[in-house]
Amino acid sequence: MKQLMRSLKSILLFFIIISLFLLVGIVLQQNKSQRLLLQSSNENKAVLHSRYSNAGTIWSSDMVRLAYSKDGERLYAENPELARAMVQTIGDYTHNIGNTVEGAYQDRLIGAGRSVIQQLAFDFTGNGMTGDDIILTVNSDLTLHAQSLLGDANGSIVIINYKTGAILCMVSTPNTYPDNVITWTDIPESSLFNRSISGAYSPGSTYKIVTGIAWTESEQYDPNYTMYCKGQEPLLGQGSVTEDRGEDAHGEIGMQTAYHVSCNHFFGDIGIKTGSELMLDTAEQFGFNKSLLIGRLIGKTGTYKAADNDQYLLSWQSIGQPIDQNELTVSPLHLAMISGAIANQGVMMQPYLIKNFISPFGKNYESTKQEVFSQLDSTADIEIIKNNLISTVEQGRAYGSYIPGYAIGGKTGTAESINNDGELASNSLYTGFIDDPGNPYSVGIVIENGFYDTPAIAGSILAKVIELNLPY
Amino acid sequence: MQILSSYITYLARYPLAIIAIVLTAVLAWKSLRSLLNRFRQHTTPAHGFFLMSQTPAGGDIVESYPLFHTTAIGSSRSSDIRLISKSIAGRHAIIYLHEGKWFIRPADSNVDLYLNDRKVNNPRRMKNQDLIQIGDRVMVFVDERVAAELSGQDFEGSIADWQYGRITERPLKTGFSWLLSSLFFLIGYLAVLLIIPSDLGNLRLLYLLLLGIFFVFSQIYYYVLPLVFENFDRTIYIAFAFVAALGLIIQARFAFVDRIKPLDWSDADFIRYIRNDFIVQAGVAIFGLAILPIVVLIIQRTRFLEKIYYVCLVLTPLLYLATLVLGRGAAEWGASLWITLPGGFSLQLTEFAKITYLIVLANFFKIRPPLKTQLLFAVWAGFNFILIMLLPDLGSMMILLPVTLIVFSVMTSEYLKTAGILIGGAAIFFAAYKLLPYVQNRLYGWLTLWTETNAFNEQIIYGLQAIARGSIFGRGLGVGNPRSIPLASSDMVFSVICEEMGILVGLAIILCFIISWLRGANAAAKVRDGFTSSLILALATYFFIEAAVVIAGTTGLIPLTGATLPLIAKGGSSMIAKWLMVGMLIGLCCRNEEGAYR
Repeated sequence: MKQLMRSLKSILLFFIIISLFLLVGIVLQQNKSQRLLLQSSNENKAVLHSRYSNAGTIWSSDMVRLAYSKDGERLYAENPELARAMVQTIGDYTHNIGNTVEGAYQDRLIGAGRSVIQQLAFDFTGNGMTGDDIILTVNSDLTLHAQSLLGDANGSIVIINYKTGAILCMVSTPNTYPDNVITWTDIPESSLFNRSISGAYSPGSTYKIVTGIAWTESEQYDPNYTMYCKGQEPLLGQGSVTEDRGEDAHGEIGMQTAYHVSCNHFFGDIGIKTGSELMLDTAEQFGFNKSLLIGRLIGKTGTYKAADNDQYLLSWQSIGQPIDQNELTVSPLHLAMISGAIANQGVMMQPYLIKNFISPFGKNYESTKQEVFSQLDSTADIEIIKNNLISTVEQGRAYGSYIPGYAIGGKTGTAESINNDGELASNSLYTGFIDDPGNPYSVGIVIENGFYDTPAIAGSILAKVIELNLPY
Repeated sequence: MQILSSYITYLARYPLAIIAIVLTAVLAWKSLRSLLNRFRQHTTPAHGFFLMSQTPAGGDIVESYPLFHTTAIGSSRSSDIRLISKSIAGRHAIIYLHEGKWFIRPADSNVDLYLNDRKVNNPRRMKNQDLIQIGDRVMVFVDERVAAELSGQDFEGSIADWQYGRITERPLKTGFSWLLSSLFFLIGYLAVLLIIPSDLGNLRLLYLLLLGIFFVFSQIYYYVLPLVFENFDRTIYIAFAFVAALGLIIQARFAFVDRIKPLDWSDADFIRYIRNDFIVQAGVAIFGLAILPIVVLIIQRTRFLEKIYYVCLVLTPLLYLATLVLGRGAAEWGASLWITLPGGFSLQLTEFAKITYLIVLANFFKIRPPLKTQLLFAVWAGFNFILIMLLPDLGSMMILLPVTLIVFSVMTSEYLKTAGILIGGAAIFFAAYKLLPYVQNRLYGWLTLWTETNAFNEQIIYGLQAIARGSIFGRGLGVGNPRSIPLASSDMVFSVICEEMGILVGLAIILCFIISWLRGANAAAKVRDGFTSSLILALATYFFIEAAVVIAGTTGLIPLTGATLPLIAKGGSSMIAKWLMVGMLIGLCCRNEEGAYR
């Protein structure tokens, strides 16, 4: 009997553990499901249609309806161009596109997933079964303008407020109309892919912003440092022979001119001088290798992975062109965040898309709190880089984004990649900012398969955002 | 009016969730304290039976040793009666109670054990004043009843009572819990009534009638059965009655709300279909509840279960074989478990095979059996498991294996062998994984749960979505979307409950099965008879493990199997089998010390 008791005690302990595993596990699974599973695809379409038939409205920041329910139907933006420009962000009630506001905030739109106290207040005033409306931070005019700028090209334009992290514009092309997604017809290839937050592109010369910051933090940093550029290739590892490109060479060159002309040789050289450890550390201060959640949406910052102590590989990494086993990618959103951090004294704000919810009472509530996503360790010389980028717009290769009367900073980039046809192609990139307390906006642009005038596109979209004179 | 009804039902989820969690948490806490209290008391010596012996120093000093329903004697620390001597083995002899009679057997074939100077090789019955020689120690078996009778004394006033006393367990107070449980039923009952669509108006009367019958039965049983059965455990009854009531409410919701009429059906056909559907489901629940007292009566007052041991021994593999030959359903559900009966009904014999399996299991391990007996059981159980694998019914396997393991380890305390069985079980699952594509698919679906939706995990994902939408208090009865979840009323019913009634009610269900195990463990430790003890343990463990496997499977904590939630999920065979098991468990818990001796 003693043994029976002992065995029973052991089994009781085992059962208590199992019970706790179950009780706690279920609560955790519910929580995880609320974050990750509400937008799973392939669910019964008729059921989804019925579930969304009375769901709340999704508004743009300028109060244009992006998704709404009427007479038992779920409808999307009345302007078809706006509807297609927002399709990868808003999604559709069938969840054919993942990682969208419709899917991820399904519970809020149908009147669930609120805090207990809020739900109690709504329930006992007869409003509990009404879903919340959602106001996004995106502006419809800016979105339409970005859509027209991208035209038939494959690419993305993202604009954020670098002081707050609010995403004002997030357009990814190609895209398609929500009705096509719902009926699963006439869907161009990759049109459901949200390049803005999920794309992973080699940054090309836009990465020289990060390399420049890393260099200013290096022990060898000298603001007056110059070197002799013999050609366009980066400086290779010690003992390597560089090709003399003759007329293509920049000759004796310092950092400001190097930004103007986007000198690969100079940035390869300072990258090596900075060293792989500090290069990695600076990349991570800029949010590389860090997971990014935009509310419940899953975003992507860049990836930085480089072999230690390989100067040859490091010189290419420093100009944004990873080779061999090295990895270096950015998303258009991350591009906007990088230049935004330069304009914002080294503070990279957490990007967000939900401005606030509107309760069934019609009141705004649960406004998104502004948070810092990442911060540079040393901001002593950040002004130097910022001024170099402004001067690059005023006098250098990014001149196309110049707007008279405004201090615009920017950096262009081109990066080679393999396109969908398996051919080597160049992507055109741009990252830049407006250095103006009244217009604290930064932009990230990627256009695939060609040499596009991204500074001009940036200039146009930044001029539009200034013109709109948005409140923030 | 319809809107107001929906609104009232919607608000009803608050009292339902709060009542459910308060009721079950209180009962679970009381049950745990009661079990811990029993552990503290350590053990109940058999009332009026003990061994007497001179101390090793000799002389007149006499020591007495209490006996339990199974008592190990030896020199090891783990022995119930520890006798230190070179001639006494670590585990020397086993004394046990079987069908009211005391037996002794050697724990090992190499030890010297004598009863009245005759060597004991096989179990031998003991009587008052029998001399037991264990190594160099001689002990006397004392049966206080017989001794008292011989000396003309009253047994109740004997030294046995004075020395050891009785553990008189005060029954747990359950009045308030029952009140809450009844309130839960009535609120849920009325909430569903309010949302039955007006075009099914005639069926409301049927609903009121059937659920009313269930409610009245459950009330009568709570108050009357304790008068009929002295040790009737109201706590365990409340736990099962609550789960069954909840099952009936959710099945009524499935039957009446959100039904879609096939285009080619007439209204009359549709209503007839719904009516028959509900009558079958509610009917089996009421039938199960109705036969409860009869089952309890048979189990408590007779040795019926002990007597059908050999029948169960043969019947268990036969039921699996019959299912293997006649079963269908593999194409739809992955396993051929249903046997078609005339009239369109189907029967799951495997549900009843689980009962007969547990009876055999309990009988094998009612005492600490020698290795030969254990091997015999292993062969028999192995044969059954092979048949289960061939069906394939992985759900049964995932429940019966842990139950076997737990009963074995508790009743034998042979932990090394337990580990061996555990490894064996793991090997069986590995073999199942390697041999059965259906198992591989389930595992793949589980591993990709958070990364992709595919044919092997969509059921769990839609279930988890429903749980996510349900949050703490649910979305209200009838407001959820069970139609998007495959097998919502059977395998995935837990998800629907969580969506419409909230996760608090889901947690309350788990607590109910924890309560039933705690009360079962308490009774297993209390009763004197090895068979009763091991069968209580087997049944209570079965309920808990089945609920845990189903709930963990539907919530993605473990890979999903084809098992269903006891007393809640749709399914006639399962419902009747589970009510039989509830009756058996309550009946066994009613057996008291005296009852066991009869």
